[in-house]
Amino acid sequence: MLKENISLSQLLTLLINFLLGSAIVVGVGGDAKKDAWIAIAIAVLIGLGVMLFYYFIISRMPGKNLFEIMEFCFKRPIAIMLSILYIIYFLYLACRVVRDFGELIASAILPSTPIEIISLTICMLMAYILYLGLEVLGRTSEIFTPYLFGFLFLLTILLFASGNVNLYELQPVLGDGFQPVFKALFPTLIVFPFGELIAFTLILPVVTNFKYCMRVSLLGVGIAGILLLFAMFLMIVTLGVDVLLRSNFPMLSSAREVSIGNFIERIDALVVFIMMLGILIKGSVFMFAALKGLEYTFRLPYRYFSLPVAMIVTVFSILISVNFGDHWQEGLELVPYYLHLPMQFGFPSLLLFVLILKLRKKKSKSSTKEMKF
Amino acid sequence: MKRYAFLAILIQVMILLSGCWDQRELGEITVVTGMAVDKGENDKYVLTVEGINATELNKQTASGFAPSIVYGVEGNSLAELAYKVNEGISRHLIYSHMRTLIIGEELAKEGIIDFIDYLERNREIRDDFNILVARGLRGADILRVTYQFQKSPSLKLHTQLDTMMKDWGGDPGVRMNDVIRAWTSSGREPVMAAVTILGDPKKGLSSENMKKVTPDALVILDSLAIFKEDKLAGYLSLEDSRNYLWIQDKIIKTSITVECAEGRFMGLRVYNTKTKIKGEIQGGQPKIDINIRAEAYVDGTHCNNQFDKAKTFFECDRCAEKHLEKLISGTVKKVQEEYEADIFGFGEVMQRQDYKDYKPIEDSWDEKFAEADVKVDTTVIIRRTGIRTKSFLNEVK
Amino acid sequence: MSILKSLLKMRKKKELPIQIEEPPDADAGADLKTLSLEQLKEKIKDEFGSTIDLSMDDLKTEGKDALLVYLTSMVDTKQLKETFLQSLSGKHDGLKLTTEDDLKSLCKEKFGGAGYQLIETFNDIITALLFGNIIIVFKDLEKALSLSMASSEDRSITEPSTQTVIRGPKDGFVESISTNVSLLRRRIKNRNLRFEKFIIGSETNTSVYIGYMEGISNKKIVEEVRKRLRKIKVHAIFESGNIEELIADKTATPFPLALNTERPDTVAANLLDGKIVILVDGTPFVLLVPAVLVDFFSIAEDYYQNFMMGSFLRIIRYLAFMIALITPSLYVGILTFHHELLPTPLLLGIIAQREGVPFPAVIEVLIMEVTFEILREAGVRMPRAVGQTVSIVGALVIGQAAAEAGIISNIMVIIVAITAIANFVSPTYSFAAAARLLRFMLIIVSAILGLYGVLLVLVFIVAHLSSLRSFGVAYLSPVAPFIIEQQKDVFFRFPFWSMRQRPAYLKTQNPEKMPKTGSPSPPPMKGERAN
Repeated sequence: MLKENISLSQLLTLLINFLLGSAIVVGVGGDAKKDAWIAIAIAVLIGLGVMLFYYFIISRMPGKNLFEIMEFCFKRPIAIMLSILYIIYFLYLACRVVRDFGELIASAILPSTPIEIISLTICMLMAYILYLGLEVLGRTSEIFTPYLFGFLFLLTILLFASGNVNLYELQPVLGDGFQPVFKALFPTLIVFPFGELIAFTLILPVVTNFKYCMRVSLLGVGIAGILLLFAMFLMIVTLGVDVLLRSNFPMLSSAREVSIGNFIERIDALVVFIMMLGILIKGSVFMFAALKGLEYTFRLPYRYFSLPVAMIVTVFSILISVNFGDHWQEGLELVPYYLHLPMQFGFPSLLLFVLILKLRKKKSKSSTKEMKF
Repeated sequence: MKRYAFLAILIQVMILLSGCWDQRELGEITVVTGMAVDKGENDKYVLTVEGINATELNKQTASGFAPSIVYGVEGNSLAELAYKVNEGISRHLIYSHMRTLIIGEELAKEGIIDFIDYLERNREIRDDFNILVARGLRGADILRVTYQFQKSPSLKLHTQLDTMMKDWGGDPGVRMNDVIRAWTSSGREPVMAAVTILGDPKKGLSSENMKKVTPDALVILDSLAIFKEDKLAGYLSLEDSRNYLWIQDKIIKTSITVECAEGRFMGLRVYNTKTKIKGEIQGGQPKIDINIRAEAYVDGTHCNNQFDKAKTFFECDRCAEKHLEKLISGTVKKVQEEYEADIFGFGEVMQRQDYKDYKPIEDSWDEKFAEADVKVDTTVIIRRTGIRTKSFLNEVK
Repeated sequence: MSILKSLLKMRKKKELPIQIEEPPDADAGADLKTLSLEQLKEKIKDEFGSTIDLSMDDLKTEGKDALLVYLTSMVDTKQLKETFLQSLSGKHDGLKLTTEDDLKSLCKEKFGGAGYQLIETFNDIITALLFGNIIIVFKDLEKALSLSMASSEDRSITEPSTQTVIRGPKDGFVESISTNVSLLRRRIKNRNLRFEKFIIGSETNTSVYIGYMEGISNKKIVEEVRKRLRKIKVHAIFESGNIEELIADKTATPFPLALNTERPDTVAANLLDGKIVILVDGTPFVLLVPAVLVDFFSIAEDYYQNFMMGSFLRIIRYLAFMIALITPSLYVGILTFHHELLPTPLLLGIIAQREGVPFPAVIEVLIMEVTFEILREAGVRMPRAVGQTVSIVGALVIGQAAAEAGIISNIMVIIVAITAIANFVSPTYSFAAAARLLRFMLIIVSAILGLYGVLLVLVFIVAHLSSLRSFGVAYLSPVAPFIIEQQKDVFFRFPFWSMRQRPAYLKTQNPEKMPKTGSPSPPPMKGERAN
């Protein structure tokens, strides 16, 4: 099997695209109303901590991914059971991401195209990319990231130029105190998007220059956090809080505000396409994580699973919820508590605990051995 | 491998044959540029749309037929009516280029909040069309009046209002978003521009109207419609409408006429202005300071001013300031007394600047607004005087 | 994929390369010493049959019977008479040709420096004959004398017909491989410039040279090129395009994985960057490997003119490629799916123009694009004399008349024209061809899914591009994987003095081109300290 590697810059862009991915589509931190940006700013700091946490687990055993570390801690049968749990978790998240995107496309640009087709096409694309390997995913994200930045920059300029920015929408700052900020923060903002970084426990081990890995991953989370913060700021000042809270896709709504000289108007369709890139990366990363799990379980190169898994994601992205309300409710009320918290923090904490114990034992063993020689 | 290839081809053919769900050829569509909503006789609404006959707007292909089709249907929800209109129009209607929404006066008085939701929710309709009230008329009548240069009535209105706002400022520049924002905000009541027809609406119907130097019927911007909640409360004059804009800091350019001597006037062109509003609640009574700073140049005068001395400039400045103060505070007072509706958004200012004191009176803000103590402070700076200094007037013998 | 797999299998099966130094097959490898002159004559006749351009003359020289064999079609007969026959029929100074040493000394004396060779097997004789050598076999001697006397029936060096420049050298490669090598050698007067010869094609025995800079080129890549060339086992090579397809890392791609050029200056510059050139006898197009996508957008002229102009033109080229690729599909996508993206007056204008056009937009685009491709192909294939007419007739008839007849809209003509012109901007024909193909794919998908489909395909193309490799070098480097130092020569062309590094993705032995000199500056002013 070919050993795959991705470079640090690829890791960086993957992280940025991953974190922006669906978070920028559905908007996060809305519970904090006018202070959503404060909530995000705090969440970014916590997000950095979350990233450090996952990095810490991985860096205990360089070159080994989450599943291999599980094997080290609990023996293979238990590790397989856990990894199957994680495979399902990752696939479910991939389904959610694809569904988010499907809903976006269906409600914004192609209302009568069956959402199945949209899921199918984007999943096929993910399957193709993953069939080509993680390197190709890294490179693709590397190529599209400048467009993401360019787009955000352009959108900012256009919004300012068309006079839709009302900075006073931010006032009063913390009018209702910190209460709503905390409400937005725990747990929704922490688990989505930052907690989802757990998928990167499968990518970090294959980064070429592991030495700088921590720095780059923190940088990635930082940049993505700032972009999220900025996007939220932009949405508040253009839409106002009321519209923001009523919008299914706030970024889309704020792009609709652009209108310059009766010529540059209605660029929302273009915004959708930029969002698509984030979704593509995020969905692919989740699918990659699941594929890695399959690779670990079946001891077959993960490429073989890419198409079947993509088909599963296609089908379940449709089946996970009957309508948009269902999808929304599931994502905000059920998933964070019953799925995200245990999978993102519960198991990994346990794993880290066992790992440290085992490593210490091993160390003392090896040191006693050394003494014998 | 052959089997896979076959499968792949099969899937492709399936998609190709069943595809193109959202496709609409240009030859099958009619672009809707304007909409009018009126009170229906039996049902809740009458929706009238203006579909563009694109060939008539193009100089090369025009052959003198009517530039648009205006047709209306009656029903209870706009969402359904928007497609039911096709009972009389042959092609698919595309609403993404809608520029003007006209609401009949009768309906506006009864309340309009119900159907606006459709306009906001629909992905196709843009958020930034002009929203107008047809003063004393049905909205559909406005849509039917033709015009020489811009043959489509709603596009003409759109441009007309835009130009008006940029040059003088009579149009409040209200888009659907602003109306919705005003509704959802506790500290603001919505306004809309009101238009009416000058002349005979019946004669405006035909394209004959386009052939006259002075058209038989012409749509003019008439006034500012004030809403209380979602119901039309009354109208403010065009002058007040401009003053309203000034308070909103939305004036781009405008002209004011200042009385420089008795019975003599001086025209000032204001080209740069900035308005700041400060609000505070003192002992339950709102206090509002409006601070306007404007730069202007002299654009014509009846007086014998010697515009080669700085002192003359200052004198004129003072004069203009007094005049402007009177204008602005007059408008505010009128609204306070007659309508008790905070169209200026002073409540929002309060919310931002004095959140704690505002919170308890949020629900009864409009009454508080009527009692509010509004102070207007203006600074006018006349910078230059066109291409002449002294007027020839005092040399006329 | 099937093509790829079968190709891989094919390569595995093939083992021995045909190379001149390889030992010949056993049955034909009879030594000369076993054959008498008469037998040899018979044998050669057997091999060549009744071909008319075989000449075998008996001659008696230096007191010995000898046989002179050559192919009249390959040998420069004038040179043969002037140099060879004269020198042999010259004064007889009693030299005896009895041993091999005698032959050697004769050669040294008479043909020193003329490229003689002593050969001893029959097979070598045949090969030598085919390459335009003359063979003299002396009676009773074990070795035959082979002299290179190939006629050079060449086109003279002319300006390249593709890849023309305004400023820059006007010479181009020709069909003769030795001329091409000399063109390169004259540009790089350096002992480290190495050429190696391969003979490929079991029927054509075509000479294929690889050239590289010793001490600069990555040895692994050079070895990989050698390995892949040796693996080739086809019957014929006529053009470098044959080689390109046989040594590419992947064939199922519309993108060229080797850069082909007619320009010696381009090749020389690339050699010095650490690339490897593959020259094929009989074609002016040479291959440069490994090729990355960026290479197809940079031309030699970028470096000959002001760097700002160079950068500007390069960006124009990228832009033109994108225009050529996506304009027709954007037209279809926007006009049939996303009407809201167009400003109202423009939309109304287009509707007015399309009024009465009977076809859906996608059919209209396909008709026009196919028509244009036909026109273009006709323009290339037509005899030069009528070629001109075709383009005028095509442009007039198809464009004007079709628009007037109401079959297509005027705006469509504009779209097709802009697409076509943008496509011609691409400096390498084979890369522009990729855009021509992918365009149709984009049009069809955009007809089904609108702009969403267009973006889907674009991402697909990017993913495909990032999976490509040319001799192990990622096709999209230095953009992905991103190498910051290399950005000086990708979208922009930085000033010459600042481009000090060779492409890092080639992993050259000597990564620096030149010492750090800093920018050129005027002499220091009075009182200023000179640096």
